[in-house]
Amino acid sequence: MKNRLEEIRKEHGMNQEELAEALEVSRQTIGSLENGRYNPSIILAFKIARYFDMLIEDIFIYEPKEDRKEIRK
Amino acid sequence: MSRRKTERKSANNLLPICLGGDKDMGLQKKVCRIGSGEKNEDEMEEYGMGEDGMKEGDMDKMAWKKTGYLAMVLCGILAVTAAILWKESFSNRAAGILVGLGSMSAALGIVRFCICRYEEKYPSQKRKSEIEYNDERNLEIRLRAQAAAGQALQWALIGLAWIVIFLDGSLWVTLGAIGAFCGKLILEMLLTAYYRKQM
Repeated sequence: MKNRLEEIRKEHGMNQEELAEALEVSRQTIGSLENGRYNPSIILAFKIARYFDMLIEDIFIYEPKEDRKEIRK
Repeated sequence: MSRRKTERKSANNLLPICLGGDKDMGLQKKVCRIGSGEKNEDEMEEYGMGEDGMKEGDMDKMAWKKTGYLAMVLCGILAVTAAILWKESFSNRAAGILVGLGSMSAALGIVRFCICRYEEKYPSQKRKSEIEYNDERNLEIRLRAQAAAGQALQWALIGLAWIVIFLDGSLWVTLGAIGAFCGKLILEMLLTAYYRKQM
């Protein structure tokens, strides 16, 4: 799933380590989220959205076509 | 330059208290600053933490754990010593079990004791390793790896059974491998039913 996490994180002047510590996840999780290799759980998605005071949809971009491709795989 | 300062200021406004910001997130239950070495007395009092950044309840738990691990080491050493000194009183099998279990107990106790001491000395490291262990991505990786390893081992057992059949080997090995394969399948079905009900 595409997301704007890296962009938003940089806008707030944070590095991955700081964001990981604030969200109580590992730095590798933040890295994987940012490059789209890992999709967060709904709880983590909410935590991220609340942390930046934004909506989930503003951070994570859901595209049904991509989802269908993943299911076929 | 001024633009960057403005951005940092707005970032601080959004940052939780634990990262030097102003916003009380409510989400942040733990105090990151304590973990990184900086101390805030009000926050420490609120979260019931001692001067070294550890919660007061944790100190007692640590003490009990260390006592337990030392007891493990002692029991292990006693078991090995008994097996060696009173060799004649035990059968070979019993002596072997005592030595094996005793060494394992002693080694595990020493390792866990050292880890406990290290965590006491560096609570931030303990917190980091807890976060790493409970991190959802790491958890998913562990679960997937365990499942894949289980599947691979299951089919390896069938492969082993076939190899033994072709090599005209012992029937018990073949039956044991097939039994383990079936046992794993049955356990998998039972656990699937269990988790289906739970979820």
